[in-house]
Amino acid sequence: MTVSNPYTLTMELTHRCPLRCLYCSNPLELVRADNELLVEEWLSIIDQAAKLSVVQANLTGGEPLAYAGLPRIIERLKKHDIYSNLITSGIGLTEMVVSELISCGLESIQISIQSASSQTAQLIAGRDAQQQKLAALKLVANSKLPLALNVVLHRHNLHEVAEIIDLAHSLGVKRLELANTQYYGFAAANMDHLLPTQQQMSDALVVYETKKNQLQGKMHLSWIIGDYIESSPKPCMGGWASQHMVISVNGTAYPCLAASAIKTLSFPSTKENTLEWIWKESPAFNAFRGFDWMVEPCRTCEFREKDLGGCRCQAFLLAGDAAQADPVCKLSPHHDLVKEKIAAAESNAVISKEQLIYRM
Amino acid sequence: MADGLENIVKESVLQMAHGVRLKDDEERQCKLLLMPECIVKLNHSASEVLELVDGNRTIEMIYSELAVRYEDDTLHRDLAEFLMDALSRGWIELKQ
Repeated sequence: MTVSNPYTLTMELTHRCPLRCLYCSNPLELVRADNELLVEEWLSIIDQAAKLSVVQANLTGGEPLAYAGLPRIIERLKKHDIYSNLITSGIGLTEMVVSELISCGLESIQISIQSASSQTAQLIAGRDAQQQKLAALKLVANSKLPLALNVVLHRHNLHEVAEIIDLAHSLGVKRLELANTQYYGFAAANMDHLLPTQQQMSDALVVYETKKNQLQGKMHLSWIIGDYIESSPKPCMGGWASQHMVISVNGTAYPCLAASAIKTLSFPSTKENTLEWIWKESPAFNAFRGFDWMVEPCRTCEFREKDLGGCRCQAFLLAGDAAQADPVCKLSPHHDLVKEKIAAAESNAVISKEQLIYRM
Repeated sequence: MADGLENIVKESVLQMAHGVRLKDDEERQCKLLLMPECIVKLNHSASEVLELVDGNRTIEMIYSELAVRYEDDTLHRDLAEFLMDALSRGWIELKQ
């Protein structure tokens, strides 16, 4: 099978982070600082990625600003004309840092907030960082750097969608991404506390559509649909290892940020293999390409080319086998597991702080 | 037409949205639209239009240039539809 080249490289520079968000997509076993890749190793990865025709890079973490080699990494991406996007909490962004990032060639920055209210933000992030984040947003909105604001949505802030949009508009944000929680990493561990009711979700969507219409031409709003909402699966990542490659903190390569959850695959390392071999030849990246890996009901399903069987990580996490149909699909023999989660969300009204699992 | 875009006229000048750019991808032999967390592989006609969105040309100028290349009755409607779609997707914006 000919494998076409990846478009995007996501680089998890560090798992260190000043925040402890309940929905963090980092794996529960965080990589320690002394196992982080050296900046020279990242530069070699970028050079190899350019040869593989990668055109875009997401710099993430943890908090990527905590990684000392960040400016050199951005410069190297610029040298290869790879579009660079920094995904940050905003903690640590000063005027000086912003000018340095711009002069290195950073092309866009995404800052996240947890809520429109400091109190809810603190519950989610495990510390009070709201004022620092708002200051960072104002700073970047007034700079030359293209800015997107990201807010992860769940049962504790879906009712705030109107306030969040108004806040973004008042800060001068031109792009707002409202992303419903994806249940991997810490978000999976805290699912009972985060999964919204169906009513919450549909109410918020009505508010979003109204506001989006009102703000057309002034602010660009996007809505990322959540897990467990629809009864047909999404073609996750456009297909396993088809467009996207993730290099984790210690050099391990994955087809997506959540894939480390799949314990039955052995993921290759950039310390031992070239990026080209990892992408084209490694068993892990080839595991779910094409259609031969599929079992019933996917194997003979009329929708298989549309949804590609859904998300492999979700299949592993819920059904215990990454080759199964995504249990979100109503045709999956494991679909009852998803229905149980949705039903439980309707009654999970009480939240006890002792049960929350914050990342360290 | 939604609020905020009601002032579009043929004299309006369009530009690429902040943080969005075109890239000529030699290996894939196509034009790509690069933006935060998203890449769009453009077909030939979309890339022809977007190459004319440069912060100087008005909508009327873009239309005139394309009309020279294509003798097509539906060009006017197709272009209007494409530009509205590109505006609503956040690819391009009105120059203020």
